[in-house]
Amino acid sequence: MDENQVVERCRAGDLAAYKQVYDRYSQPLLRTANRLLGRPQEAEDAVQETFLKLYRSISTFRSGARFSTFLFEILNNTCIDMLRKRKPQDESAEAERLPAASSHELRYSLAEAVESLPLRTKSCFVLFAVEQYSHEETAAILGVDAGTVKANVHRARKKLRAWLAAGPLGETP
Amino acid sequence: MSCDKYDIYQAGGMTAVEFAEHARRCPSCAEQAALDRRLDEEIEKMRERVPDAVLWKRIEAALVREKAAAVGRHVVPRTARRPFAFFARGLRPVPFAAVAAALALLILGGVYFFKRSPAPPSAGILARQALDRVELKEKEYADAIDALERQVRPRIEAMDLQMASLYRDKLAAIDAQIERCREALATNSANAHIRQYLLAALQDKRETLASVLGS
Repeated sequence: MDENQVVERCRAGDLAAYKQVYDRYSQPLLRTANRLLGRPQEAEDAVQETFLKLYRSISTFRSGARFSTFLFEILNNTCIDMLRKRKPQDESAEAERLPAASSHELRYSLAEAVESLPLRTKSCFVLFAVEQYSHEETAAILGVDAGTVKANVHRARKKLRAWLAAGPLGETP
Repeated sequence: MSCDKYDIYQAGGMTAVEFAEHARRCPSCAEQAALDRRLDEEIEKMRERVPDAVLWKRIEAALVREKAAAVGRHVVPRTARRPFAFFARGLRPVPFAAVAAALALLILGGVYFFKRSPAPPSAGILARQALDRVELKEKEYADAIDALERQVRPRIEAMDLQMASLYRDKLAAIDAQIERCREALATNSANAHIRQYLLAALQDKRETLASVLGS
């Protein structure tokens, strides 16, 4: 079944069609939410909320548009809302963050380094470099122009290179 | 970093060959290029699978609740309290088409029955008979699902706490949807639109119970 048919079945409220969307997109959605929010539990909540918003707004999806862009736009807005609602000194949630030291020290630290980037820079970097959307698709998801995406990805890479240069468990950028 | 050639190269201001030539003489740019390659390797690792064991169950339960709430919002209050407001505010095209098709079938069936029957009963009696048949089949279906549920409940209770809770939540949401449909049908038993929602809810319940048996 192609994506248009799945979308049509989603419009009709068919839960099996939503499961197909989940099977296809849950991993990139979870990874992106994880990177933007930095907390695995909140990332799952964001993905769940994304599916609810998709259910409520699928009638507004224009045929011909790219479904993944529509879906990631909902996720991005959901993550931004969740970040806005966070308390400034939410120390209790700090324990949920990805651990800094483990057998995957470098990767976890890189995740932390990515998380510490400014939100716009981080969103551009995660969608373009990690999830491999084009500059134009990333721009459509974030509601900015492609030039902004390029500039932010460049900025992110520069900061992350500096972080890598500081050592395997180096300073955050 | 004292050299900006790597930034220029990345911005498209130099070809790969030109940059490679430059990097042979510039340790700073060579280091930046090496760091970028290492960064790409690390980014690749960030694409590993994220654990999501029970996330779909949570999402499915939330969608079922949303669907049930939508039934309550769309059907019950309007028909129960202000039947004409249902038409005044406009029906959605698909349910309207379904209701229209059901009515057309009922009328055609009635005409056919009237023409072939030597002593035709009144239209009211025909509609009542059709409704009785629907209600009887519906009751048989609901009773069969209740019997299935009695078999499945002990299995749910034997599951781990999280899974059991997910199934209980989902079944409770479906039961609430069924209850709302029945309440609405109590005031308007011939509403085909609500009957469709009731059938969908019963099917959801049967599939959920079957998935427990299959797990």
